[in-house]
Amino acid sequence: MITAIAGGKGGVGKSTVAYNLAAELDGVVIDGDLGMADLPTDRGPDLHDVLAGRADPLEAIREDGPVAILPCGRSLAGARAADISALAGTIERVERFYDHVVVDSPAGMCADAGVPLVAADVSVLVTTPETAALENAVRARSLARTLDAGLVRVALNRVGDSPPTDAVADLFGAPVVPIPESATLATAQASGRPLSTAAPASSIRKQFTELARAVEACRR
Amino acid sequence: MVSLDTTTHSEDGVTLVTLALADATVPTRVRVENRLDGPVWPPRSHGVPEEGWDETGVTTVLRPGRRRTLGYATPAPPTDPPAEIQAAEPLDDDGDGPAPADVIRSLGDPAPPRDVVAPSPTTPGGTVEGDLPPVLAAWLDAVEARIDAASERDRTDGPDAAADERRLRTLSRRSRALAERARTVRDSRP
Repeated sequence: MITAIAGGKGGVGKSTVAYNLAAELDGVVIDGDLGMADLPTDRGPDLHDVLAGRADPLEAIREDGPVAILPCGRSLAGARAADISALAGTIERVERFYDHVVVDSPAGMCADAGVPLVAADVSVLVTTPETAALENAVRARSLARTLDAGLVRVALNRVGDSPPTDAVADLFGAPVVPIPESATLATAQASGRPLSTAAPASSIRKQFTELARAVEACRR
Repeated sequence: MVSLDTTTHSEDGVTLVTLALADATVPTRVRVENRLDGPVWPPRSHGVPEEGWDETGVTTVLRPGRRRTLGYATPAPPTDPPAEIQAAEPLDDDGDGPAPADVIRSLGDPAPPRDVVAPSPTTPGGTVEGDLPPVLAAWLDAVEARIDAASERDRTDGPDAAADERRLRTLSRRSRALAERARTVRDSRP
């Protein structure tokens, strides 16, 4: 099953959500942000290499950390050589070997944001309560609708004590999972670990467990 | 029954073919094949052929009471008829949904422009492409420059592009076969 994490605006926490969701689903996360890699990585073939035809997707998946990752490359030359039209096939090939594939999509509305939605079975939208983020998320919602990636949940990130979950749910037509501002989450992400290993008993982890349950419930 | 009218116009060794489809009584999927002695150069958007087009023709849907005009180019000289309807079947309405090529065509390729990327080094220890022999890397750079120039002008490809595509595909086939053989040799070592 392929889940695309979308959001339109940069910096709202898509990668954090993608990483933790993949951890809860025991799946693989693909860092699909071709212009700016977000997730931890090391030397070895990466998504730029895969999309340039230099490596098979399975060769590029790192399984030595707490979450399996297909990292993105970090060079402009690599981003240029990457053939975006190979991305859908890459995602589908990974899905043959992993029960759950979570694709971290980039911000914006270019093909690198759209192709994961085409390949995906469902999508999770990530936004913060700020107007600019919500406006971008609405555009991403509309793109997901056009590309048939049903919206499972909206992850409303960095909320305070009274998150506007009802208003946001009405705006997007999907249930909202609020993710509070959290030092635990920030520390875990900074150390390259998911909450499921860094803080398994934390209350914030429960939000990601809930998100994973919602995704799993959509499996046909 | 679906009808096809065609016109051709030749200039500078390129034939432009116009197709006009009409007279469907129900929504009909129509396949038109090029009959001229050369490849179809389809209309493209961001380098990707427009939906329904391929190397030999176009598949499109014609609604009743509507007329559909399409066009393509080819390096072949004009003859009569330049194209023909190969098939016309009532639509079964089983849409497949958008394809990745549609997304690229409508949203655009996010790759950084050529200007911001330094030329690939050909010394070992450079980028991954630094492994390639200088002659080959230079040829690939020249092909890429031609493709970029053609797609930035957003027009159908010319004679160079057809030859480039042919050579790239030959190179790709041969490289893949040799890589498989190299891997087999490597895997068979104790």
